[in-house]
Amino acid sequence: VTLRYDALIVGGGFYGCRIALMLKRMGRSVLLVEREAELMSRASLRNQARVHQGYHYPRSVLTALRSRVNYTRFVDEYADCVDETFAHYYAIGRSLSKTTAPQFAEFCRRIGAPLEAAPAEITRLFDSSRIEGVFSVRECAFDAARLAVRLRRELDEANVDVFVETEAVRAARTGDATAVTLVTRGSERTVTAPLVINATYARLNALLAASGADIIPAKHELTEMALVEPPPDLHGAAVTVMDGPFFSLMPYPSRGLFTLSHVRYTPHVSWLDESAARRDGDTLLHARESAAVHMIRDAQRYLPAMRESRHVESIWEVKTVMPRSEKDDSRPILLRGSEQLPGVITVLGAKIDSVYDVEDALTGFLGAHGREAALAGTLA
Amino acid sequence: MIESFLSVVAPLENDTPDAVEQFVNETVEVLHGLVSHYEIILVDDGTHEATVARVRSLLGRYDFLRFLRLSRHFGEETAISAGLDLAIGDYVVVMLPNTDPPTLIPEFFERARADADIVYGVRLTRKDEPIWYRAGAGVFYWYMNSVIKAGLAENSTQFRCMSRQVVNAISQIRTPDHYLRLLTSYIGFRKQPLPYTSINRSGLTTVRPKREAVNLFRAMVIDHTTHPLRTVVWVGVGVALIDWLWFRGSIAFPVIAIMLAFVGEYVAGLTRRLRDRPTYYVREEHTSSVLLREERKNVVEATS
Repeated sequence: VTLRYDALIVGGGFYGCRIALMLKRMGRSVLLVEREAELMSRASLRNQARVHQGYHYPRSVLTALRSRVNYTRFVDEYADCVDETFAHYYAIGRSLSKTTAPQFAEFCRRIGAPLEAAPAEITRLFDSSRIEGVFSVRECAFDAARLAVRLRRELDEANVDVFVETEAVRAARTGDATAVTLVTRGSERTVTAPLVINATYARLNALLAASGADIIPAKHELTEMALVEPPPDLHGAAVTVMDGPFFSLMPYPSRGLFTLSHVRYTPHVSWLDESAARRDGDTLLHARESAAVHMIRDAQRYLPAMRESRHVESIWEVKTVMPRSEKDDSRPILLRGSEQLPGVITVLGAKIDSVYDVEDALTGFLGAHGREAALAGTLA
Repeated sequence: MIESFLSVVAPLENDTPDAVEQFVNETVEVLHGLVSHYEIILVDDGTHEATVARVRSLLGRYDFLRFLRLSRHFGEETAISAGLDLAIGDYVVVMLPNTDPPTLIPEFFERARADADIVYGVRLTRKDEPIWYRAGAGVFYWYMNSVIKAGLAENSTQFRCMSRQVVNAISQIRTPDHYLRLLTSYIGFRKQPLPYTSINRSGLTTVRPKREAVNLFRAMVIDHTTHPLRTVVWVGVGVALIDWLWFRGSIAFPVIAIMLAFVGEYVAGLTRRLRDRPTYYVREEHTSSVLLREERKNVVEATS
């Protein structure tokens, strides 16, 4: 059976869902396929749930400014899926930090992000020999479970076809469209579409490589985040220690717990997708030894109250970044066509709210090539 | 297996790549069966490029290995203090990869847990060292212990196991001259010596060059006590009196010169301290990134 759509979206994460809705609004027939049994159950769920307000990027003002813009958009649009009820403190480490407290305050002033000195009862929770300053900021967390429910409803209302437990294994150019082989629980079928969006995040190169197309140089990390019950002294506040090998404690609304992530211990192993050595990160997800104890031990050096936190379990996921953004810690988005598969566009972002940048870029991309051209599959 | 977190801190200076690899292999093996959680912190204090490259490859082989690279060569004592600043264990073992055998870690650790806050290694024999070095060490310990009663453990080495409380106490002392062995005697706590025979992985000499040995002697004395200063003050008063009474100014000059030298040493020490700047800088920090752990395990099982 060969199905035909105007657009096929591979990957039912937050980006994939949003792009499917966007293309549907443009009046196209859209199919969204997801490998897992549920939409938004991988990287969109297994992450820090932080909606970035820009504070995190003192070494990349552009990323910080974009974050500020997108933050407002995201929080307005998904007000029912964000948790803004908790206090959030940013602490600046004394040694090993790439930013000092005055530099951080100046940076926040420049990007216009709200910043105040933290109240004394919070500041004294930190070890002042290791922490230079503590600031009170405004930054929220999203509830991935609610977000998933809402997007599923929107997709249904918009009549977007969704196949779950379906993997796009191969793509090939056929005339004016791309034929993609889908496998659903062992049975194969082919879908042709002039426009294919590859929104598979960590698996971005799986489809490209299997189809004989050039892969995109990407760096992957196997990451662990500890789900913890936070120390009672913090009264449900989030804490981020910057800007070096430190940690973050963030509410994780979808489970009613907090995530503890640590720059040193969260990435367990990293590897590059290169022509010779591409590997399936999913095979690494299991049988790793947890570093949660290391995270808590190190965190309590800066914040002694962390001794009272309790590790419940860990969430593991493959995180993918463009190698370039490692140096300056920026979070650019990726939008790239393929020479061998002209109708396939790969998108990648690092933050939930960067989806707006991706959508803008995609709209621009399709506009520049002409709607008709895009439909006719002459994208390059 | 003991439910505890043990950190091992090892400074790297003139260590050969093979010696470091051997050290890490042995240490991982010992720690793996000993405690529920551990980390090994290697501090690069200006070691050879070949050794750095070897450590990087070890980061891909073993979990919970940390590699801290200082911005330049700061000296063994500063490298150790940098490692102690970062260690997160309940107990911290300090050792020199070239001379301290990892097989002794369990004994150091067990004793520290049982009834001591610090268990320090003591060299069983100095027979392999040249006579001048042993004589110098003799004078040093005589002065430190018999004259100024510093309570310095004789022939003690860097090899030691300390409780978290002790590590915190030592990390709080921020002086440019950070001699672990002196600080150990200064901070107190329950101490226990553990005599052992050191090894020599690289086969290179472990004897400090003469100049460095004399400098270390001088620095440790000056850093620890003002006794020499007070001594020369009294000598000065005595000589001045004798000179004024009997010699009318003819013998005082050389004595004054010597006194000035001592005063100069203390002024130099004060100047160093008044600068009040970080005692070391970190160039970069790396942690384990083990890709093929499961596969390696399979290989081990298959061959055993």
